[in-house]
Amino acid sequence: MTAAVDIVDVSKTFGNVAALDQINLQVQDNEFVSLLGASGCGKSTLLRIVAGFESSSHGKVIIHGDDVTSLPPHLRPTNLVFQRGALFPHMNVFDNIGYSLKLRRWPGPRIAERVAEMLALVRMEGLGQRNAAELSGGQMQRVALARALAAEPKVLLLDEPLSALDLKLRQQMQLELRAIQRGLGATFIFVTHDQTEALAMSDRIAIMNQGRIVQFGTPREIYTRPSSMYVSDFIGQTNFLRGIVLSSVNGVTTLDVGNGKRATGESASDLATGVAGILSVRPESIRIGLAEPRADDSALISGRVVEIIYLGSIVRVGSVTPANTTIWAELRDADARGLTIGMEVKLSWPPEAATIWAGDGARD
Amino acid sequence: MRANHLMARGFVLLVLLYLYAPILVIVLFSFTTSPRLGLPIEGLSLRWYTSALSNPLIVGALWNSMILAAVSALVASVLGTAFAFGVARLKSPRNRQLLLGAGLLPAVVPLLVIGISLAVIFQAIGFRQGLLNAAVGHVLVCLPFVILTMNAQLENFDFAIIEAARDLGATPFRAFLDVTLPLIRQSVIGAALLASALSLDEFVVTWFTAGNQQTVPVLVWGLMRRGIDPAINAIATMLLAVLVCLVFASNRFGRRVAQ
Amino acid sequence: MIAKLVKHKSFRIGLIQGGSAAALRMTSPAAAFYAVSFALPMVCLFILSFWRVEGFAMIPDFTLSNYAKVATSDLYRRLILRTIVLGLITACIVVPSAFILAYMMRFVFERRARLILQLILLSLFSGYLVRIYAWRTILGKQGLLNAMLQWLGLTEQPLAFLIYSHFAVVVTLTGLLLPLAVLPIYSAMCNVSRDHVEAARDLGSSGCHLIRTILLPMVLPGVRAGFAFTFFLAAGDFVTPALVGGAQSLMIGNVIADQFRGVGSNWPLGAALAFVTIVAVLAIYFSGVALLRRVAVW
Repeated sequence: MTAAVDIVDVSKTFGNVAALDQINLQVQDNEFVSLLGASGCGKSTLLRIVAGFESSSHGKVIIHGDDVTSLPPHLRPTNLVFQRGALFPHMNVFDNIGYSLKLRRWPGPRIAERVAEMLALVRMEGLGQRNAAELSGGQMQRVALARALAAEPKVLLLDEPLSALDLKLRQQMQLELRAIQRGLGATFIFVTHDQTEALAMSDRIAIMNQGRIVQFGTPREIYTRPSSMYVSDFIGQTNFLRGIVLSSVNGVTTLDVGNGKRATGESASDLATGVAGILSVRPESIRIGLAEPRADDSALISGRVVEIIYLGSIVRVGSVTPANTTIWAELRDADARGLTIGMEVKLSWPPEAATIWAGDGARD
Repeated sequence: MRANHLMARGFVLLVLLYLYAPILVIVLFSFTTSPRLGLPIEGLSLRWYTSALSNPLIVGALWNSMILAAVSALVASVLGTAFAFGVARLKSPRNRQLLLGAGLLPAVVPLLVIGISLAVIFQAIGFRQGLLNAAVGHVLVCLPFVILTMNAQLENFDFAIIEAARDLGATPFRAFLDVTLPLIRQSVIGAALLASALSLDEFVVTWFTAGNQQTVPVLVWGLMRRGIDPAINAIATMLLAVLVCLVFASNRFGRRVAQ
Repeated sequence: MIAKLVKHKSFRIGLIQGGSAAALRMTSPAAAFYAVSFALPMVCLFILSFWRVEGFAMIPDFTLSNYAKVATSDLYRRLILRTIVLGLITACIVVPSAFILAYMMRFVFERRARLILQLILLSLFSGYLVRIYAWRTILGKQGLLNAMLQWLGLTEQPLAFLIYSHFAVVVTLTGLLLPLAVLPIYSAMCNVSRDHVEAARDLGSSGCHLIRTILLPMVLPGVRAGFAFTFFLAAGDFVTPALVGGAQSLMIGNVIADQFRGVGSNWPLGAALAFVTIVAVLAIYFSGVALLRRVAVW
């Protein structure tokens, strides 16, 4: 089966700066893929290369088997939803949505039918005669979505379309967008810098950093098995512990983290004994106890509670280890009762909840 | 505080009076009966208007002025709009400022210098002085002002809109027709009207390039040199009326820019 | 070579997509127009200043005799000096007035600023010759101002210095150029927020100190542009001295204009005069800007 979008070896340089460095990415049909990264990581440039608004310095873009690398944007089977909608301000909603159909010389009645269908899809029935300038932010993005979907593009590209909306509306639109994508069975490539958005919506996420894709996988893979310290730090919150590899067998690695303490986690491959290693563990995996931890817990790092932040459903607890590292844990309120600042505690986590890579974490 | 405010108001009114006194005087004296330009005014009449309009040169001058105004409006607005678009498209603010500065440069050069240098180049290529030469000069004089107004209008232009049209299947030309043109049309008309006002009023460059061809300002200049003739006030008032209308219209159009 | 470049895919797409390639393409028609109608004529004018005139014909040459004539003539030197002095006086009246006006529009009459700006701009577009001519009517011996002064009993005889004098030239040029100076200074002033001024006040600055250390540095580009407009255009105006200046207040522009349109015209000499004046004016302008920088400390 050919991929819906096949990005082969795409590089882009501006002067001497590499904005994109040998990107390879395959998006399957009907898949919702997010390009996630901090601003300036090249995600928007990559999207614009797929849309045809930027040329790549090297490499190819193949859509459903057709090489579109040298096609201008109006001949590509992709449509783009712009960050701030980019609705035509001099047209009403109907004309905006029908624009691509008019260019394809659809007969009037068919356009009307299709536009009505699209308005229903984005839940804006009966608002076709509204002026584009009179719409609210959320409505604008709905119309932009309807406009981009009207001509049934093979691939829909979305360039941070929700970033200008406030939080509540954004969350609601995320759900709707996902529902629309499932309902249509369309291929979406979605650019965002918001990790929760990417986790909530995507089938797969490509994490980008400095013009490269550093990990491509399902949200769960990325969250639980980050491929690098960068990914682990970028997605969600995490604690890092540095140490020396004591043993590494069958992907289970134990580090000496100083003061004779050990920490165990999983690594992608077995690491050589004696090299530097770094362990990442999510706050919600950490248990805090006053008593001795259970036998199967990998570590019993001792710490002193320095901060307790009450967040309603959860409580964030910060403890400082003897090596002067602050470890954050997220506990249910019930588990956090009895903890007070200054208290000596034991920190522990199940080994499968921690990931270990070789290196000292100085650079990714 | 109160006194300060009063002084400020006084200053602004004084400046406005200073700017508008000459105009008021011209209009006032164009309607007097006596040929003497002094107070008190003895009576009101339209005799200077009839005298001005019976000048045998006025029709030709008017015709030439209109041709020049139309040409400058058309050419300067097209060139200037394209230029302003190019400037707005640049990403780096420094380059934008630099290019804009270059586009506005002729506005700082005295018209005398522009006029004589154009006279020289037309002489060098063997072009006889005439209306065509003057038209080149007029476009040159109008262009910086068109660029300045269009630049202000395009400052908030969202280029993503053009990209959206292209993305939805429009060729570059089609995107221009469907999206760009409707959005900037008002501003361009505003700029064109401004250019035509500038052209109608242009004297110095015309004087050095048009040869024996008369335009309204050249005609007025001729009358002024000959001495005090109240008919000048009449022509000037008519010219003023046209200019004010053009600038007002230009303003109306310019303000209705879509963003 | 070029064909190969055009055929190259990225170039083609670059043209379609825009970016700085498209920006350059869109500015090129106007740039080409400027090149042939503005830059090239200047160069020609410069070259012409080295030619000579024999009889009524211009002879291509490379002679400095025109410049020598300018340098040795007392008359030309006096006229150039007078032009610069009158231009500077005009600029020194116009720029501070425009500055005060811009300040008031920005901070005192904020709500009416648009209207005031429109009125000022409207006057800019309402008749160049007309306004100069009108000042002759106002300032003339039997003009309005004299009539009014006599009527008020302030003077018995009409004041002669009002017309055909340096005074008349400066008054007229000020009226002509004030709108052009207000425009850049006001737009620069718009970048100064009330907060800036209030923060400075809060920190103990006021009056002249506030203007020198806060306002002037922030609007300096606008002031520079306003100064350039008024000084250059005042120094280059020949219609004003011709109509209200009279014989004693002729400026170099009148002489240059006469060399190009008049009896016994001499284009090469006119070109040389023009370039000497341009160099002198630019030198004064740049020293003025340097002085301005020194005054505006921050």
